[in-house]
Amino acid sequence: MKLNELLGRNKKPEATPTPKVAEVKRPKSPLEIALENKPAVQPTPQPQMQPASQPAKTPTLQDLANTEVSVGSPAPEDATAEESTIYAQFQAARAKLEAAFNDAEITPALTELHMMIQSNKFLQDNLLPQDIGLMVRALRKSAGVTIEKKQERAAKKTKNAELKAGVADDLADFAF
Amino acid sequence: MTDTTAMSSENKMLELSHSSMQLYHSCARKLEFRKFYEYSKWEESVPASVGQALHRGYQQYLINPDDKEAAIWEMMKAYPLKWQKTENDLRSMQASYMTLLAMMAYPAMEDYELAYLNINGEMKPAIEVPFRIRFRNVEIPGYDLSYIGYTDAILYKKSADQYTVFDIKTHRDTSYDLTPKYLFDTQCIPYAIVLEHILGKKINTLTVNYFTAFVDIMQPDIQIFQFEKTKQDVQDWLQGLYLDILAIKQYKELNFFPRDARSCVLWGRPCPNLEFCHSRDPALINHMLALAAAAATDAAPKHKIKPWIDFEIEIGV
Repeated sequence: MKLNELLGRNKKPEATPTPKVAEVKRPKSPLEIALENKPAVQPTPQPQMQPASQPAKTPTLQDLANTEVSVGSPAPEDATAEESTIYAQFQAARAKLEAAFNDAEITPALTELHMMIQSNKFLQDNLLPQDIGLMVRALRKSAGVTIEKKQERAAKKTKNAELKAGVADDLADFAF
Repeated sequence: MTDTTAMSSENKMLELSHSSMQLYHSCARKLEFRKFYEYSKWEESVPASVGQALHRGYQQYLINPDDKEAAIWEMMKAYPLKWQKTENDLRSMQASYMTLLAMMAYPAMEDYELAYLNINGEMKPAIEVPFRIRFRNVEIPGYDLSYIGYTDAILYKKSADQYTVFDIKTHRDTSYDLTPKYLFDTQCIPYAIVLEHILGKKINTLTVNYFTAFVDIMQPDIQIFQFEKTKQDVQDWLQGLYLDILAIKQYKELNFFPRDARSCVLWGRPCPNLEFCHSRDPALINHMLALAAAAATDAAPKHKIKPWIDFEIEIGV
Protein backbone atom coordinates (compact mmCIF):
# COMPACT_ATOMS: atom_id res chain seq x y z
CA MET A 1 0.00 0.00 0.00
CA LYS A 2 1.37 3.42 -0.93
CA LEU A 3 1.44 6.43 1.32
CA ASN A 4 -1.03 8.28 -0.89
CA GLU A 5 -3.52 5.51 -0.40
CA LEU A 6 -2.87 5.38 3.32
CA LEU A 7 -3.42 9.08 3.64
CA GLY A 8 -6.65 8.80 1.75
CA ARG A 9 -5.43 10.56 -1.36
CA ASN A 10 -6.15 9.47 -4.90
CA LYS A 11 -8.95 7.29 -3.67
CA LYS A 12 -11.89 6.47 -5.81
CA PRO A 13 -14.79 8.83 -5.17
CA GLU A 14 -16.83 6.32 -3.19
CA ALA A 15 -13.91 5.66 -0.85
CA THR A 16 -13.09 9.33 -0.21
CA PRO A 17 -13.62 10.24 3.43
CA THR A 18 -15.97 13.12 2.80
CA PRO A 19 -16.47 15.40 5.76
CA LYS A 20 -20.06 15.38 6.88
CA VAL A 21 -21.73 18.60 7.92
CA ALA A 22 -23.91 16.72 10.36
CA GLU A 23 -20.90 15.69 12.39
CA VAL A 24 -20.12 19.21 13.56
CA LYS A 25 -21.00 19.11 17.23
CA ARG A 26 -21.65 22.72 18.04
CA PRO A 27 -24.52 25.13 17.66
CA LYS A 28 -25.00 26.63 14.24
CA SER A 29 -23.08 29.81 13.80
CA PRO A 30 -24.59 32.93 12.24
CA LEU A 31 -22.26 32.22 9.37
CA GLU A 32 -23.73 28.79 8.73
CA ILE A 33 -27.23 30.14 9.10
CA ALA A 34 -26.33 32.80 6.56
CA LEU A 35 -24.96 30.10 4.28
CA GLU A 36 -28.18 28.11 4.56
CA ASN A 37 -30.26 31.18 3.79
CA LYS A 38 -28.40 32.03 0.65
CA PRO A 39 -30.53 32.78 -2.40
CA ALA A 40 -31.51 29.67 -4.31
CA VAL A 41 -30.10 31.04 -7.54
CA GLN A 42 -26.55 32.28 -7.49
CA PRO A 43 -24.97 34.34 -10.25
CA THR A 44 -21.96 32.02 -10.14
CA PRO A 45 -21.53 28.61 -8.54
CA GLN A 46 -20.69 29.66 -4.98
CA PRO A 47 -18.17 27.50 -3.22
CA GLN A 48 -19.47 26.65 0.23
CA MET A 49 -17.30 26.53 3.27
CA GLN A 50 -17.48 24.78 6.57
CA PRO A 51 -15.12 24.06 9.43
CA ALA A 52 -13.29 20.77 9.35
CA SER A 53 -16.01 18.39 10.34
CA GLN A 54 -13.64 15.67 11.36
CA PRO A 55 -13.09 13.87 8.09
CA ALA A 56 -12.89 10.13 8.53
CA LYS A 57 -9.60 9.48 10.26
CA THR A 58 -6.97 8.23 7.89
CA PRO A 59 -4.50 5.70 9.19
CA THR A 60 -1.39 7.28 10.66
CA LEU A 61 2.11 6.03 10.14
CA GLN A 62 2.12 5.03 13.78
CA ASP A 63 -0.96 2.89 13.16
CA LEU A 64 1.07 1.00 10.64
CA ALA A 65 3.91 0.21 12.99
CA ASN A 66 3.02 -3.47 13.01
CA THR A 67 2.80 -3.95 9.28
CA GLU A 68 5.36 -6.13 7.58
CA VAL A 69 8.78 -4.67 7.06
CA SER A 70 10.13 -4.15 3.59
CA VAL A 71 13.78 -4.93 4.17
CA GLY A 72 14.90 -7.03 1.28
CA SER A 73 11.48 -6.95 -0.35
CA PRO A 74 11.59 -7.49 -4.09
CA ALA A 75 10.97 -4.77 -6.62
CA PRO A 76 7.36 -4.35 -7.76
CA GLU A 77 6.30 -7.02 -10.23
CA ASP A 78 5.80 -4.66 -13.12
CA ALA A 79 9.25 -3.06 -12.72
CA THR A 80 11.56 -2.97 -15.71
CA ALA A 81 15.10 -4.32 -15.50
CA GLU A 82 16.43 -0.81 -14.96
CA GLU A 83 13.86 -0.13 -12.25
CA SER A 84 14.72 -3.40 -10.55
CA THR A 85 18.36 -2.34 -10.45
CA ILE A 86 17.40 1.03 -8.97
CA TYR A 87 15.22 -0.72 -6.43
CA ALA A 88 18.10 -3.00 -5.44
CA GLN A 89 20.33 0.05 -4.97
CA PHE A 90 17.59 1.62 -2.89
CA GLN A 91 17.36 -1.49 -0.70
CA ALA A 92 21.13 -1.42 -0.17
CA ALA A 93 21.06 2.27 0.79
CA ARG A 94 18.08 1.59 3.04
CA ALA A 95 19.92 -1.21 4.83
CA LYS A 96 22.89 1.13 5.26
CA LEU A 97 20.64 3.73 6.85
CA GLU A 98 19.15 1.19 9.23
CA ALA A 99 22.65 0.11 10.25
CA ALA A 100 23.64 3.76 10.74
CA PHE A 101 21.13 4.14 13.57
CA ASN A 102 23.79 2.72 15.84
CA ASP A 103 26.36 5.30 14.69
CA ALA A 104 26.75 8.93 15.57
CA GLU A 105 27.04 9.62 11.84
CA ILE A 106 23.59 8.87 10.52
CA THR A 107 23.31 12.01 8.39
CA PRO A 108 25.38 10.84 5.37
CA ALA A 109 23.33 7.63 5.06
CA LEU A 110 20.11 9.62 5.36
CA THR A 111 21.23 12.13 2.75
CA GLU A 112 22.27 9.36 0.35
CA LEU A 113 18.93 7.57 0.56
CA HIS A 114 16.92 10.78 0.50
CA MET A 115 18.74 12.07 -2.60
CA MET A 116 18.14 8.73 -4.27
CA ILE A 117 14.41 8.99 -3.58
CA GLN A 118 14.16 12.64 -4.60
CA SER A 119 15.85 11.97 -7.93
CA ASN A 120 13.83 8.92 -8.88
CA LYS A 121 10.11 8.97 -9.51
CA PHE A 122 9.93 5.19 -9.61
CA LEU A 123 11.16 5.03 -6.02
CA GLN A 124 8.81 7.82 -4.95
CA ASP A 125 5.88 5.91 -6.39
CA ASN A 126 6.84 2.65 -4.74
CA LEU A 127 7.81 3.74 -1.25
CA LEU A 128 6.21 1.71 1.49
CA PRO A 129 4.92 3.24 4.73
CA GLN A 130 7.75 1.59 6.64
CA ASP A 131 10.28 3.21 4.28
CA ILE A 132 8.77 6.59 5.09
CA GLY A 133 8.71 5.80 8.79
CA LEU A 134 12.40 4.94 8.59
CA MET A 135 13.21 8.21 6.82
CA VAL A 136 11.35 10.25 9.40
CA ARG A 137 13.01 8.42 12.29
CA ALA A 138 16.38 8.93 10.64
CA LEU A 139 15.77 12.66 10.31
CA ARG A 140 14.76 12.83 13.98
CA LYS A 141 17.99 11.07 14.95
CA SER A 142 20.06 13.20 12.57
CA ALA A 143 18.59 16.42 14.01
CA GLY A 144 19.28 15.14 17.52
CA VAL A 145 22.91 14.35 16.68
CA THR A 146 23.35 17.74 15.01
CA ILE A 147 21.95 19.54 18.06
CA GLU A 148 24.21 17.55 20.41
CA LYS A 149 27.26 18.46 18.37
CA LYS A 150 26.29 22.12 18.34
CA GLN A 151 25.81 22.07 22.10
CA GLU A 152 29.20 20.39 22.56
CA ARG A 153 30.86 23.02 20.38
CA ALA A 154 29.12 25.81 22.30
CA ALA A 155 30.19 24.30 25.64
CA LYS A 156 33.77 23.95 24.39
CA LYS A 157 33.75 27.54 23.19
CA THR A 158 32.50 28.75 26.58
CA LYS A 159 35.17 26.71 28.37
CA ASN A 160 37.90 28.13 26.12
CA ALA A 161 36.61 31.65 26.69
CA GLU A 162 36.69 31.06 30.47
CA LEU A 163 40.26 29.72 30.27
CA LYS A 164 41.35 32.74 28.22
CA ALA A 165 39.66 35.08 30.69
CA GLY A 166 41.44 33.29 33.56
CA VAL A 167 44.82 33.70 31.87
CA ALA A 168 44.07 37.34 31.20
CA ASP A 169 43.21 37.80 34.89
CA ASP A 170 46.49 36.14 35.92
CA LEU A 171 48.49 38.31 33.51
CA ALA A 172 46.81 41.41 34.89
CA ASP A 173 48.74 40.90 38.15
CA PHE A 174 52.09 41.04 36.40
CA ALA A 175 54.08 44.19 36.77
CA PHE A 176 57.43 45.02 35.21
CA MET B 1 -17.78 46.27 -6.34
CA THR B 2 -20.09 44.20 -8.50
CA ASP B 3 -20.10 40.47 -8.85
CA THR B 4 -20.98 38.99 -12.19
CA THR B 5 -20.27 35.96 -14.27
CA ALA B 6 -20.05 37.82 -17.52
CA MET B 7 -16.80 37.39 -19.36
CA SER B 8 -16.41 38.19 -22.98
CA SER B 9 -13.45 39.08 -25.10
CA GLU B 10 -10.92 37.71 -27.51
CA ASN B 11 -8.22 39.37 -25.47
CA LYS B 12 -5.43 37.55 -23.72
CA MET B 13 -5.69 37.39 -19.96
CA LEU B 14 -3.12 39.43 -18.08
CA GLU B 15 -2.85 37.78 -14.67
CA LEU B 16 -1.51 40.04 -11.98
CA SER B 17 -0.67 38.75 -8.53
CA HIS B 18 0.97 39.82 -5.30
CA SER B 19 4.37 38.71 -6.56
CA SER B 20 3.98 40.28 -10.01
CA MET B 21 2.95 43.58 -8.41
CA GLN B 22 5.99 43.38 -6.14
CA LEU B 23 8.02 42.82 -9.28
CA TYR B 24 6.35 45.83 -10.90
CA HIS B 25 7.11 48.03 -7.92
CA SER B 26 10.75 46.96 -8.00
CA CYS B 27 11.07 47.73 -11.74
CA ALA B 28 8.34 48.22 -14.34
CA ARG B 29 10.51 46.66 -17.03
CA LYS B 30 10.68 43.43 -15.08
CA LEU B 31 6.91 43.26 -15.25
CA GLU B 32 7.05 44.00 -18.97
CA PHE B 33 9.42 41.09 -19.58
CA ARG B 34 7.49 38.74 -17.32
CA LYS B 35 3.97 39.53 -18.46
CA PHE B 36 4.10 41.03 -21.94
CA TYR B 37 7.09 39.16 -23.34
CA GLU B 38 6.21 36.15 -21.16
CA TYR B 39 9.86 35.66 -20.30
CA SER B 40 10.95 34.57 -16.88
CA LYS B 41 14.12 32.83 -16.01
CA TRP B 42 13.89 30.25 -13.28
CA GLU B 43 15.80 31.39 -10.24
CA GLU B 44 15.44 28.91 -7.47
CA SER B 45 16.47 30.20 -4.08
CA VAL B 46 17.18 28.24 -0.94
CA PRO B 47 15.01 30.41 1.35
CA ALA B 48 12.04 30.17 -1.01
CA SER B 49 12.44 26.43 -1.56
CA VAL B 50 12.86 25.70 2.14
CA GLY B 51 9.83 27.90 2.83
CA GLN B 52 7.86 25.92 0.29
CA ALA B 53 8.86 22.65 1.96
CA LEU B 54 7.74 23.95 5.36
CA HIS B 55 4.47 25.14 3.81
CA ARG B 56 3.84 21.65 2.48
CA GLY B 57 4.62 20.04 5.81
CA TYR B 58 2.50 22.38 7.88
CA GLN B 59 -0.40 22.29 5.44
CA GLN B 60 -0.37 18.49 5.63
CA TYR B 61 -0.48 18.84 9.42
CA LEU B 62 -3.52 21.11 9.16
CA ILE B 63 -5.25 18.49 7.05
CA ASN B 64 -4.46 15.66 9.46
CA PRO B 65 -3.16 16.90 12.83
CA ASP B 66 -3.10 13.32 14.16
CA ASP B 67 -0.33 12.29 11.84
CA LYS B 68 2.74 14.41 12.39
CA GLU B 69 4.98 11.94 10.62
CA ALA B 70 3.04 12.40 7.41
CA ALA B 71 3.59 16.16 7.79
CA ILE B 72 7.32 15.65 8.34
CA TRP B 73 7.49 13.43 5.28
CA GLU B 74 5.70 16.05 3.17
CA MET B 75 8.34 18.54 4.27
CA MET B 76 11.14 16.07 3.50
CA LYS B 77 9.78 15.31 0.05
CA ALA B 78 9.73 18.99 -0.88
CA TYR B 79 12.99 19.91 0.83
CA PRO B 80 15.66 21.11 -1.67
CA LEU B 81 18.32 18.68 -0.50
CA LYS B 82 20.55 19.36 -3.50
CA TRP B 83 21.28 22.82 -2.06
CA GLN B 84 22.24 21.60 1.40
CA LYS B 85 25.96 21.71 2.05
CA THR B 86 25.89 20.25 5.55
CA GLU B 87 23.40 19.67 8.32
CA ASN B 88 24.80 22.81 9.94
CA ASP B 89 23.37 25.08 7.23
CA LEU B 90 21.08 27.69 8.74
CA ARG B 91 18.14 26.33 6.76
CA SER B 92 19.20 22.69 6.76
CA MET B 93 16.65 19.89 6.60
CA GLN B 94 17.44 19.22 10.24
CA ALA B 95 16.69 22.88 11.07
CA SER B 96 13.50 22.65 9.01
CA TYR B 97 12.51 19.53 10.91
CA MET B 98 12.92 21.27 14.29
CA THR B 99 11.06 24.30 12.95
CA LEU B 100 8.18 22.19 11.67
CA LEU B 101 7.93 20.48 15.07
CA ALA B 102 7.71 23.91 16.71
CA MET B 103 5.04 24.99 14.22
CA MET B 104 2.97 21.89 14.91
CA ALA B 105 3.33 22.35 18.67
CA TYR B 106 2.35 26.02 18.65
CA PRO B 107 -0.36 26.19 21.32
CA ALA B 108 -2.45 29.05 19.93
CA MET B 109 -3.35 26.91 16.95
CA GLU B 110 -5.51 24.68 19.11
CA ASP B 111 -8.28 27.24 18.73
CA TYR B 112 -8.38 26.77 14.98
CA GLU B 113 -9.55 24.09 12.66
CA LEU B 114 -9.21 23.82 8.95
CA ALA B 115 -12.15 24.93 6.84
CA TYR B 116 -13.43 22.80 3.99
CA LEU B 117 -14.73 24.12 0.72
CA ASN B 118 -17.43 22.54 -1.33
CA ILE B 119 -16.06 22.83 -4.83
CA ASN B 120 -18.57 21.46 -7.33
CA GLY B 121 -19.80 18.91 -4.83
CA GLU B 122 -16.36 17.84 -3.67
CA MET B 123 -15.22 18.79 -0.18
CA LYS B 124 -11.68 20.10 -0.32
CA PRO B 125 -9.50 21.32 2.54
CA ALA B 126 -9.08 25.09 2.30
CA ILE B 127 -5.35 24.84 1.68
CA GLU B 128 -3.58 26.70 -1.13
CA VAL B 129 -6.96 27.92 -2.31
CA PRO B 130 -6.52 29.16 -5.88
CA PHE B 131 -8.59 32.20 -6.80
CA ARG B 132 -9.00 34.66 -9.63
CA ILE B 133 -10.64 38.06 -9.45
CA ARG B 134 -11.39 39.42 -12.90
CA PHE B 135 -11.71 43.15 -13.41
CA ARG B 136 -14.61 44.01 -15.64
CA ASN B 137 -14.14 47.70 -16.24
CA VAL B 138 -10.42 47.98 -16.89
CA GLU B 139 -8.53 46.78 -19.89
CA ILE B 140 -5.14 47.15 -21.44
CA PRO B 141 -5.32 46.99 -25.25
CA GLY B 142 -5.27 43.31 -26.16
CA TYR B 143 -5.58 42.17 -22.57
CA ASP B 144 -8.29 41.49 -20.02
CA LEU B 145 -7.13 41.86 -16.47
CA SER B 146 -7.34 39.62 -13.48
CA TYR B 147 -5.71 39.17 -10.11
CA ILE B 148 -4.77 35.66 -9.09
CA GLY B 149 -3.42 34.09 -5.96
CA TYR B 150 -3.41 31.20 -3.56
CA THR B 151 -4.62 31.55 0.00
CA ASP B 152 -2.30 29.51 2.20
CA ALA B 153 -5.10 28.37 4.50
CA ILE B 154 -8.59 29.34 5.59
CA LEU B 155 -9.22 28.31 9.16
CA TYR B 156 -12.21 28.42 11.46
CA LYS B 157 -11.56 30.06 14.83
CA LYS B 158 -13.66 28.18 17.31
CA SER B 159 -13.64 30.69 20.17
CA ALA B 160 -14.65 33.59 17.89
CA ASP B 161 -16.91 31.54 15.62
CA GLN B 162 -15.41 33.06 12.53
CA TYR B 163 -13.37 32.22 9.50
CA THR B 164 -9.91 33.65 9.18
CA VAL B 165 -7.09 33.46 6.68
CA PHE B 166 -3.57 32.32 7.41
CA ASP B 167 -0.43 33.16 5.58
CA ILE B 168 2.62 31.12 6.50
CA LYS B 169 5.91 33.00 6.51
CA THR B 170 9.26 31.35 7.08
CA HIS B 171 12.25 33.59 7.65
CA ARG B 172 15.62 34.21 9.25
CA ASP B 173 14.82 37.76 10.27
CA THR B 174 16.21 38.54 13.71
CA SER B 175 14.34 41.84 14.12
CA TYR B 176 12.97 42.30 17.60
CA ASP B 177 9.46 42.97 16.38
CA LEU B 178 8.13 41.86 13.00
CA THR B 179 4.87 43.81 13.33
CA PRO B 180 5.93 46.64 10.99
CA LYS B 181 6.81 44.07 8.35
CA TYR B 182 3.25 42.80 8.14
CA LEU B 183 1.09 45.67 9.38
CA PHE B 184 0.46 47.20 5.95
CA ASP B 185 1.30 44.15 3.91
CA THR B 186 -1.32 43.82 1.20
CA GLN B 187 -0.91 40.17 0.33
CA CYS B 188 -3.86 39.00 2.42
CA ILE B 189 -6.25 41.83 1.55
CA PRO B 190 -7.72 40.28 -1.61
CA TYR B 191 -8.43 37.21 0.51
CA ALA B 192 -11.15 39.32 2.17
CA ILE B 193 -12.86 39.72 -1.20
CA VAL B 194 -12.46 36.02 -1.87
CA LEU B 195 -13.81 35.05 1.54
CA GLU B 196 -16.75 37.39 1.08
CA HIS B 197 -17.49 35.69 -2.21
CA ILE B 198 -17.28 32.23 -0.64
CA LEU B 199 -19.55 33.14 2.25
CA GLY B 200 -22.00 34.88 -0.06
CA LYS B 201 -22.40 37.84 2.26
CA LYS B 202 -20.66 41.08 3.11
CA ILE B 203 -18.02 40.94 5.78
CA ASN B 204 -16.93 44.09 7.53
CA THR B 205 -13.61 42.92 8.83
CA LEU B 206 -11.32 40.06 8.09
CA THR B 207 -8.80 38.75 10.54
CA VAL B 208 -5.60 37.90 8.77
CA ASN B 209 -2.92 35.92 10.50
CA TYR B 210 0.72 35.83 9.61
CA PHE B 211 1.95 32.55 11.01
CA THR B 212 5.67 33.19 11.11
CA ALA B 213 8.44 30.69 11.66
CA PHE B 214 12.05 31.59 12.31
CA VAL B 215 13.91 28.66 10.79
CA ASP B 216 16.58 27.43 13.18
CA ILE B 217 17.72 24.11 14.54
CA MET B 218 18.40 25.32 18.08
CA GLN B 219 15.80 28.00 18.62
CA PRO B 220 13.03 27.95 16.04
CA ASP B 221 10.65 30.74 16.89
CA ILE B 222 6.97 30.71 15.99
CA GLN B 223 4.76 33.76 16.27
CA ILE B 224 1.37 34.79 15.02
CA PHE B 225 0.77 38.37 13.95
CA GLN B 226 -2.90 39.13 13.72
CA PHE B 227 -4.43 42.12 11.97
CA GLU B 228 -7.96 43.22 11.29
CA LYS B 229 -8.49 44.24 7.70
CA THR B 230 -11.44 46.50 7.13
CA LYS B 231 -13.47 47.69 4.17
CA GLN B 232 -11.18 50.69 4.07
CA ASP B 233 -8.13 48.44 3.67
CA VAL B 234 -9.84 46.64 0.80
CA GLN B 235 -10.74 49.95 -0.85
CA ASP B 236 -7.19 51.24 -0.38
CA TRP B 237 -5.79 48.13 -1.97
CA LEU B 238 -8.20 48.25 -4.92
CA GLN B 239 -7.53 51.93 -5.53
CA GLY B 240 -3.78 51.40 -5.41
CA LEU B 241 -4.09 48.47 -7.79
CA TYR B 242 -6.30 50.48 -10.12
CA LEU B 243 -3.76 53.30 -10.30
CA ASP B 244 -0.99 50.78 -10.96
CA ILE B 245 -3.06 49.28 -13.77
CA LEU B 246 -3.59 52.71 -15.31
CA ALA B 247 0.16 53.30 -15.22
CA ILE B 248 0.87 49.88 -16.74
CA LYS B 249 -1.68 50.63 -19.47
CA GLN B 250 0.07 53.90 -20.23
CA TYR B 251 3.50 52.26 -20.32
CA LYS B 252 2.16 49.61 -22.66
CA GLU B 253 0.60 52.15 -25.01
CA LEU B 254 3.82 54.18 -25.06
CA ASN B 255 5.95 51.03 -25.33
CA PHE B 256 7.99 52.49 -22.54
CA PHE B 257 8.21 50.65 -19.25
CA PRO B 258 10.69 52.61 -17.13
CA ARG B 259 13.53 50.65 -15.61
CA ASP B 260 14.71 51.03 -12.05
CA ALA B 261 18.46 50.66 -11.80
CA ARG B 262 18.21 49.82 -8.11
CA SER B 263 16.82 46.44 -9.11
CA CYS B 264 19.50 45.49 -11.63
CA VAL B 265 21.20 43.54 -8.86
CA LEU B 266 19.12 41.78 -6.29
CA TRP B 267 20.38 39.44 -3.55
CA GLY B 268 23.79 39.62 -5.18
CA ARG B 269 22.51 38.39 -8.53
CA PRO B 270 22.14 40.38 -11.74
CA CYS B 271 18.62 40.80 -13.11
CA PRO B 272 17.84 37.95 -15.55
CA ASN B 273 16.63 40.51 -18.12
CA LEU B 274 19.86 42.48 -18.04
CA GLU B 275 21.11 41.30 -21.43
CA PHE B 276 17.87 42.30 -23.20
CA CYS B 277 17.02 45.42 -21.26
CA HIS B 278 19.00 47.85 -23.43
CA SER B 279 16.53 47.44 -26.30
CA ARG B 280 13.08 49.00 -26.64
CA ASP B 281 12.41 47.35 -29.99
CA PRO B 282 9.76 44.63 -29.54
CA ALA B 283 10.88 42.73 -32.65
CA LEU B 284 14.50 42.66 -31.51
CA ILE B 285 13.57 41.74 -27.97
CA ASN B 286 11.34 38.91 -29.19
CA HIS B 287 14.17 37.64 -31.38
CA MET B 288 16.66 37.74 -28.52
CA LEU B 289 14.24 36.06 -26.16
CA ALA B 290 13.50 33.33 -28.68
CA LEU B 291 17.22 32.63 -28.98
CA ALA B 292 17.59 32.66 -25.21
CA ALA B 293 14.60 30.35 -24.78
CA ALA B 294 16.04 27.88 -27.30
CA ALA B 295 19.26 27.69 -25.33
CA ALA B 296 17.68 27.80 -21.89
CA THR B 297 17.78 24.91 -19.49
CA ASP B 298 16.35 26.89 -16.62
CA ALA B 299 13.03 28.21 -17.86
CA ALA B 300 10.57 28.90 -15.08
CA PRO B 301 7.96 26.18 -14.81
CA LYS B 302 4.65 27.54 -16.03
CA HIS B 303 1.80 26.83 -13.69
CA LYS B 304 -1.60 27.48 -15.13
CA ILE B 305 -3.85 28.44 -12.28
CA LYS B 306 -7.08 26.48 -11.97
CA PRO B 307 -9.06 28.70 -9.66
CA TRP B 308 -11.62 27.21 -7.31
CA ILE B 309 -13.00 30.66 -6.84
CA ASP B 310 -13.36 32.80 -9.93
CA PHE B 311 -15.45 35.92 -10.12
CA GLU B 312 -15.60 39.37 -11.58
CA ILE B 313 -15.69 42.81 -9.99
CA GLU B 314 -15.50 46.44 -10.98
CA ILE B 315 -12.77 48.66 -9.66
CA GLY B 316 -12.05 52.36 -9.82
CA VAL B 317 -11.30 55.42 -7.76
